[in-house]
Formats: sequence, structure tokens, C-alpha cells
Amino acid sequence: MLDVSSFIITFKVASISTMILLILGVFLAWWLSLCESYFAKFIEILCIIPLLLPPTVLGFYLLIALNQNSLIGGFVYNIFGYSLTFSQLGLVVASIIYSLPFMLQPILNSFRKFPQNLVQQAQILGKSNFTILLKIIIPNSIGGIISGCILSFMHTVGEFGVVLMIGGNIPNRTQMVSMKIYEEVQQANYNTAHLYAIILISLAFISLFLLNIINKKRAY
Amino acid sequence: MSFYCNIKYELLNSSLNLEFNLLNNDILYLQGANASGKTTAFNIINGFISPIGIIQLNGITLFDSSKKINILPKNRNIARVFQNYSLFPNMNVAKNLDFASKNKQLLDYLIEKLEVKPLLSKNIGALSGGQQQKVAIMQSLISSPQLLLLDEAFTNLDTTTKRIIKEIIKDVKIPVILTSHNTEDTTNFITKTIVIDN
Repeated sequence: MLDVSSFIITFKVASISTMILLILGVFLAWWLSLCESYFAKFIEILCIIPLLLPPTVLGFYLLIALNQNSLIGGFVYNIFGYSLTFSQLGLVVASIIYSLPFMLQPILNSFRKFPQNLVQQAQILGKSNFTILLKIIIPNSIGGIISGCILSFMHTVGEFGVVLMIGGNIPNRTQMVSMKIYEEVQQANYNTAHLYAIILISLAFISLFLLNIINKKRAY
Repeated sequence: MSFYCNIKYELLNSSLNLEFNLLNNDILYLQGANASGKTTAFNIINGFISPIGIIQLNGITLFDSSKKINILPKNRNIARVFQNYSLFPNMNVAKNLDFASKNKQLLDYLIEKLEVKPLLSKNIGALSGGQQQKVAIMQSLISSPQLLLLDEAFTNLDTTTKRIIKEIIKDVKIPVILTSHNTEDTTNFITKTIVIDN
């Protein structure tokens, strides 16, 4: 029997983190595409590092950084009363960090490929950088932005190591689908594990199909 | 209206030195071979490249390398028609014009005069090269500039449209700087010529 709550938790965490990542990714990519300083390069590398780290390494340090005895975790717990570990809020925070490269890279590529003469023309017409971002760059880079959303959403849905470390695999609270599959396999419930896995494979297939269509159509 | 430019800029294999003064109705023809620095000169005047020297528009210093004055491109009020038109592909013709418009009266006049009404709802990608060029010129004129830069702006226009646009530009009474490889574009239009010879 399928456990609906793990799907609800997974899609809730993936949706919220993707929405936050969308805003963060667009502004970060915009800043990185404008700046050529060493500081900007450093920030870009820092944002992309989760791509190359083993999820358990990232999860371990996030656990250290976000637990209630840490500076950040303690601050959030004392001010807002929410724990950043073994909670859905913690899963969202962790998802934002480990899925950031998947949102940032496609948007940054789109912004960097964006024709400079269009930006220059908008500047010549007296428009502010923010207006240019909203009315020219974002609408013309929509392919890269949607690609970023699909990739980061799917990466959050499929993540295992980080969410296990931060969430702790608590049923009905922090247990996401990837962890549920692990649990079913441990209990030798292969048929149920198959069901969960087929749903995730179907989602991945649909996402890649959509990405393919978007990449064929996108200009930048 | 007046424009003064005295600049020096090092190109890859040569040096670009320009000094000229333009008044109200002056139309300057910047003549030169490919890669002689005409587009670079426009980039300098627009504020995208910093040279050595001074640029002044209507007595206001836009750029002065010695005094470290450098007004941002968006505040210079210098319109430009790019070689490749630079229209915004996410907007149709009407929205491209609205985005630039600071002079509604002139916009309505140009739509009528250049017979652009049937094109207003069309996407930029659906326009021919000549139609895009016409819209790009309109976009520059309705932004109420104090100086107009035309970079190969007449290349794809038919003779009648070219004549009408030249008349309109003369009527606007602002200094204009023009580049073109076709000497027909300059006939009965320009008042000054500078040859860029590296």
C-alpha cells in the first residue's frame, strides 16, 4: 500500500524550495552575470560546490550548522520557535542549499548568453537595470528559468543523503519518497518499493521530455 | 542643441582619434572601412566604453577622463539604431514602441507616416529586415533623444521609406551621426563628413 504522506511531504518540500530557489536563482544569476570580480567568482563556486560533494558530507555539515546548539539553528529556534533539524522547515532549507546549483546553472547560462546589444538598447532608452531584468532579460530567458525550476524540483524530489541526515526519516513528518523506498527495501517489500520507484521514474521521464521540448524552443 | 567630442581610444592595431563639434541640424557622416572603429566610436559616445578625452552634450559634460566624469548610458539621452536593429523579441511591435516612447504625439505621427499600423500586433520575428529597421528607427526617435546615432540604419530600407525617414530626422532638429557603406544614404542628407583612416 502506498503511503500518501511521504508524497505530500516530498512535493511540499520540493515546491516550496523551488519557489524560493527561483527568486534566489534569478537575482543571484543576474548579479553573477553582471560582476566579473574575484568575489563574484568565489560566490559562484560556493553555490556550485553542492554539485560535487557527496550528499552525506553536505548533510553532515548542514546538521552541524543547523542544529539547535549552532549559531544559525539556535537563532531560528530562539526567535521563531522552529527547529531546523528533523523538521520540514529544515528539509526546505537543506533543499535550497543542495538544489541551488541545479537552479542557478541554467539561468546563469541563459543570462550570460543573452545578447548584450539588447541590454545596451534598453539602457540607451533610459531603463534601469531592474526594469531591464524584469521586462527584457527574464521574459527572453524563460527557457533557462523553466529548465532551472524542473531540474531543482526533480533533484529535491530524488535527494536521499542530505534529507536523511537533516530530516532523520521520521514517518509522517520528514519521511520523503526516496527514504520510503529505502525503508520498503529494508523490509523486503519489493512490490511496494517498485511502485514508489516507478512513480519517480515516470516523473523523471516527463521532466526530461519537457526539458527537451524547452531546450529545442529556447533562444537563450 | 550641440555636441562636442574629443576622444582618443586604442584599438587592437590602431588608435581612434576623433574631434568634432555638432550643432542643431548637423548630420555627421562617419566614413570608414570595416573595423575602422565606427561602432567603437558609437559605443564610446553611448557610454559603454571609456576613452581618454571629453564628450559634452548641450554644454553638459557626459564624459571627462581627466575629471573622472562618466554619466551612465541610461542618463545620456543619446538614442541609437544598432546595425542588427536590437528590437526586443519578447514584445510585439506596439510594445517595442511603447517601451521606448517618451513622445506619444511623434509616435502617432510616425505610425501614420511610415504606414506601420498593420505591423503593430506582429511579433518582431515575423517582420522583414526592412520592417525591423523601420521600427528600430521609430523606437530611437520617440525616445526624445538629444543626439541620434545611426549605425548602418538605412541598409534594408526601400528608397521611398529612406526618403521619408531622412525628412523626419531633419525635422526633429537634433544632431545626428551616421555610418553607412552606401554613399546613396548620405546624398542630400549629411552636412559634415569625417573619414576614419587608421
